[in-house]
Amino acid sequence: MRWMLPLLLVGCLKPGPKRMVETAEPVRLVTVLGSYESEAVEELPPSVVARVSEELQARQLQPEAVGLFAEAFGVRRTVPARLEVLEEAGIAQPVLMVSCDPRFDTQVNGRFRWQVDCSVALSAADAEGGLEQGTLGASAHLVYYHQQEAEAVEEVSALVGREVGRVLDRWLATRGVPEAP
Amino acid sequence: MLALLLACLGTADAGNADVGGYFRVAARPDLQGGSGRLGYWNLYGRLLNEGSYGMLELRYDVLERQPADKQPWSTVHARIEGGSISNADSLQGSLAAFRLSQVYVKSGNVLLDGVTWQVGTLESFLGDLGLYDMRPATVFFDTVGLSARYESRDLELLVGAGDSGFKRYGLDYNALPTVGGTARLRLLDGHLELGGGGELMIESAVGGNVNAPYHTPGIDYEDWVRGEVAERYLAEFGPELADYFPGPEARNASANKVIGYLGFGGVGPLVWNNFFLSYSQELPQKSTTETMLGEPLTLYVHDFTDERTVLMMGNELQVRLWPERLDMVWGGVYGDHRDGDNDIVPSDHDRTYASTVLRLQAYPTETVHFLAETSLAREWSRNGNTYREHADSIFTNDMGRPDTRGLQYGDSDTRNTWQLKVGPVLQPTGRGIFNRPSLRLLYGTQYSNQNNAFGNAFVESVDQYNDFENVEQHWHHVLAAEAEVWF
Repeated sequence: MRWMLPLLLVGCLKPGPKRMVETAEPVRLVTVLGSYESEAVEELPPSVVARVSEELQARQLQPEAVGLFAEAFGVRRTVPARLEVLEEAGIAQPVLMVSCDPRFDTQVNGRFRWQVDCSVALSAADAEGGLEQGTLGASAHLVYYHQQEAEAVEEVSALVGREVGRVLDRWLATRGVPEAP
Repeated sequence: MLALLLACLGTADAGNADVGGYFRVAARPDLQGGSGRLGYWNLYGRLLNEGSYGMLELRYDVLERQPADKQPWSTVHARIEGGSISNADSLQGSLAAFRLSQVYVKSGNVLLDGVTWQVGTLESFLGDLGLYDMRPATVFFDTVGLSARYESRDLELLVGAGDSGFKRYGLDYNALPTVGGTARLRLLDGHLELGGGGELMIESAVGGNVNAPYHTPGIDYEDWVRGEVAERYLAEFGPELADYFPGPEARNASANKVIGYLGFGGVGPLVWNNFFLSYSQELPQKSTTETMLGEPLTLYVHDFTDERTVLMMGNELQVRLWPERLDMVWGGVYGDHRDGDNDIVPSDHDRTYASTVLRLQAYPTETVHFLAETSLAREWSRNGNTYREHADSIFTNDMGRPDTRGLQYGDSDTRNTWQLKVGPVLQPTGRGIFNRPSLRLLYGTQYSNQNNAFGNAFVESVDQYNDFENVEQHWHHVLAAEAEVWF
């Protein structure tokens, strides 16, 4: 197994975050998983929330879950409308909202292809225009028919995490947080 | 095809077009005279037994679907795929190896809520045996037409109708009306599913149409198998009556397929178990050709080939043995091909096979994994010997004795195959046996009782004047660097 050691070491090497605040700061975290089939929404799967939280924590930002406004988010599908809901509810900024709306696309050579569209929005007073945003359009190729929206997002969770990181770094840059050495 | 691709790519920024696909490419230098595949086919697991492949799936949202909206929507899909990539196989990535395999338009919320209409190619499956790349529970594989799919949280219902004539017969097209459908029930959401379906193809006699089904009367099955129908006729009636060789009689032909599916899982370490079943009555063969007095003689063989059936069962389960550390997928396949007309000659239409494949994938880190897969398979020919176990095996024999008139081939009616594949895997998007992209460095070995049981360029005859010597080897070793990606 000694020959595998270099591979394992390379596998452990992860690039660090580009920017990191000096002291820990709280960020309210809202995750939303929508469906094309109904108005019902729920939170993103725990593994995806964990990956988003990792991105926050890597920058010394402490995620604070604020729960899901299921009824309101079900009928308000856009980012501005949902941020309004949070504002009306008195959720303190900064707020990071990660929303995904996967839809089944088609069967492709043994896989079930899903289109996963996500938006990452960070609402903060010190962000440019009060809002830093990113979007993601990815495809998930699920193996089983019973796998649905949650599994489709899990399949692309690495991409979701990366987009969250980009949005956070842009926000921290506008605040003048320097790049990590 | 290129124009379609460019058109889709050109509008990708508009947000209503999408290009996805799949590629599989491998470097497998074969130092034993093979063509780079470990064994003959994916009965031994698709890994190292399949070649290069490329596929582009294009989608354009003609009328974009909105979340939780009952407004009509429509998408057009096109798929280009083929089994060649430059530098990786003998076809050198030639576009001749590719085809526009699927084109269809889907529209929803038109006429009926919750129903998706599809016009174009209709292929639909209930699931996949990922280790084998086999989909026994598939309908409309050959069909172009119209289907309607109703989907709710608990039920998926598909009905369709169309024509399978072009896919089956190509230039020898004859209409092959096809009807069928599937139903799938979610009995326990995320835990238990049950499905089934089937299809029926009917090919009617059309007098005068050379591509319709016919049978040439008065010919003997064994003469046909041996390619001696013309010879027998001339011996019996003489060349002066060659013009009176019997003409074909019209026939009606049909084929059908029944499929079943049982899926369960989401309990403890069991991620999911898929079981598929299919039983099909195959379409009869149209014709073969012999030569009579220097002229081609077409023999129509409906009655000789209309009793071919295929039973196929497959099971595959995925288990999380040690969460985040070790996953397992275990599959099995059984096939039984029967030809009720044939009791004398070994044939792919008269055989059984069974195989099991076990794959383990360990995750030392999130992106660096280790894969090990083994398979065991047995293939048996119902009508006698069809495999050569040795370089000097006789070609034709009967009851184990050399017989130039014998219809058997080689010295065994059974092929036993064992394979092992091991190596490290890099998966940048994380853990999961079916997660992609997957970059693998694999070593594979195979043992078979058949001599040179892999695609090769060895001299097979035992002629004393051969320029190249015969080679006998039962072990086969392959090293591979390969990548597989869905996108």
